[in-house]
Amino acid sequence: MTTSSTTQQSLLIEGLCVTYRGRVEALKDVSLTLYPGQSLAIAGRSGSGKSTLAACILGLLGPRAVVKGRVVVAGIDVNQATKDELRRLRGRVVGYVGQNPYAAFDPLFRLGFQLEEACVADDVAVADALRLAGLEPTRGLLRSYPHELSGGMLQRAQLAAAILNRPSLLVLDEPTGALDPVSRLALARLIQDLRAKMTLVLITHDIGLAARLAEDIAFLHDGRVVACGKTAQVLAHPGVEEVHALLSAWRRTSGVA
Amino acid sequence: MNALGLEVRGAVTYLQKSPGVPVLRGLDLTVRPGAAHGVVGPSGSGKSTLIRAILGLLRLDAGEITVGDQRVAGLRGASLARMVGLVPQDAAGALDPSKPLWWSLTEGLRIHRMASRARCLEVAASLLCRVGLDEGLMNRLPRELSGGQAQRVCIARALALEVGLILADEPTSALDPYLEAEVMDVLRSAATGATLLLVTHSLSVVATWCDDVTVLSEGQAVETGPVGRVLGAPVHPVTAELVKATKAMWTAEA
Repeated sequence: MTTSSTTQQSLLIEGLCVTYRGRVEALKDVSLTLYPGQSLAIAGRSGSGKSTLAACILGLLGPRAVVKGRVVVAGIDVNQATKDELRRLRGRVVGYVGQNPYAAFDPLFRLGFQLEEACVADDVAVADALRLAGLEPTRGLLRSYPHELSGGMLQRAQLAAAILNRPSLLVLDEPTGALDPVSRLALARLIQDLRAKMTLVLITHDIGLAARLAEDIAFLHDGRVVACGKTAQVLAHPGVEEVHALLSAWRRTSGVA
Repeated sequence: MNALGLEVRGAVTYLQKSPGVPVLRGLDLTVRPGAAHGVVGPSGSGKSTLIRAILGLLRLDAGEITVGDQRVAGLRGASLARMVGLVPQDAAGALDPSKPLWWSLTEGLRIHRMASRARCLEVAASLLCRVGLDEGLMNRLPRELSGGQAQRVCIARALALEVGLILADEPTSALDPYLEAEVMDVLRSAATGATLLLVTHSLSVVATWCDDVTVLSEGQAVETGPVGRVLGAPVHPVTAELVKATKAMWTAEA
């Protein structure tokens, strides 16, 4: 379902409510708009609805979830989309990077095969995507099985897979959660460079990562957006008590005074 | 049981599939009894392998590990289990999904024939209290817990056998900062009276909750000492790089 008013936005979420099993309200009346080239961090505590929001953008909520409201990604209304539209949406319109690098690939197939299989263009696109993700597309790398690569390399490979078909929107769900500080910084820098090429939605409870990568930030608490605005401003003047509490906890665990 | 020290001397172990490359290459580590000791290092530096070796889950090709005054290699699994406890990274995945929490919490006690069923329920209740959870949770199933609760249950389970050494492998990396602080506080106070070896990616967690720290790189301990000294004035380049990357992450736009 395409309307002229929605085609300009990369992502439009209007009055989104999600209820699981008829009783757990994961999202309550969430509205967000993202224009091409924008980068938005979605922060909040565990259980605040962050990952549900990501699942909504990709149309991945199962039959047990009741969804109200609209999610429109590059002109496609996710909740009304046909199977074919959804297939095109995932990977070609929206790229997705999850938290666990080990769960991103099939352990039985070589990395190169898996990337080529997912790619709509040619081998050059695979090599380009790997380079953009900070990996040199050597024969050795392409012939590796997932378990032969470190977590940091796999996470970069996952990023390559996500941008392989040049999506206009990239959704990252805790992309650096499982990485050591050095690989984490390296990945953060790569994502930073991708901002010029695509719209970014970064789901994280790592406020430092959000501050580094996202121009705008929305805090979810208990399924609602409790604060939203320019990242620097929201972090400097949290206003709401929930955001303030999360920021102090983060300062404690991240060792920043 | 009293806090047990840990001594790792020249530990060497090879991965089965690539026999040429040792994962631990002569690793030395001394943990004082009663200390909270952090182990940090890049991915692939041998942190998890070290934990597996201390738990007796893999055989060393050279070197030896001593817990208290006993060599791990010479101990039966059952004896080792009464000295060393583990808090895993994936808490929810470490609890039997089909069993209520009291069952998981006291499984060790039953295996070691240390408690009757009635006694198990009592123990489970007191363990849950020790980690700040309501004892009413003991009849719940793991899937009914939040991430933070599941991790507290795993801490409680590690305490069940009153071990002298608690190993924690990335216990908070799946939690949000708020829960991370909460769970680390619980772990630190629960481990009072025991020694705590904490493997983590996070230098900040080490800085806030540990006394000593050892930095691993490519299967060797490259730097070790009090947290303030090692993180404040790192000597080895690997430590310096970790500290630098951690700081750079928080300081804006470079």
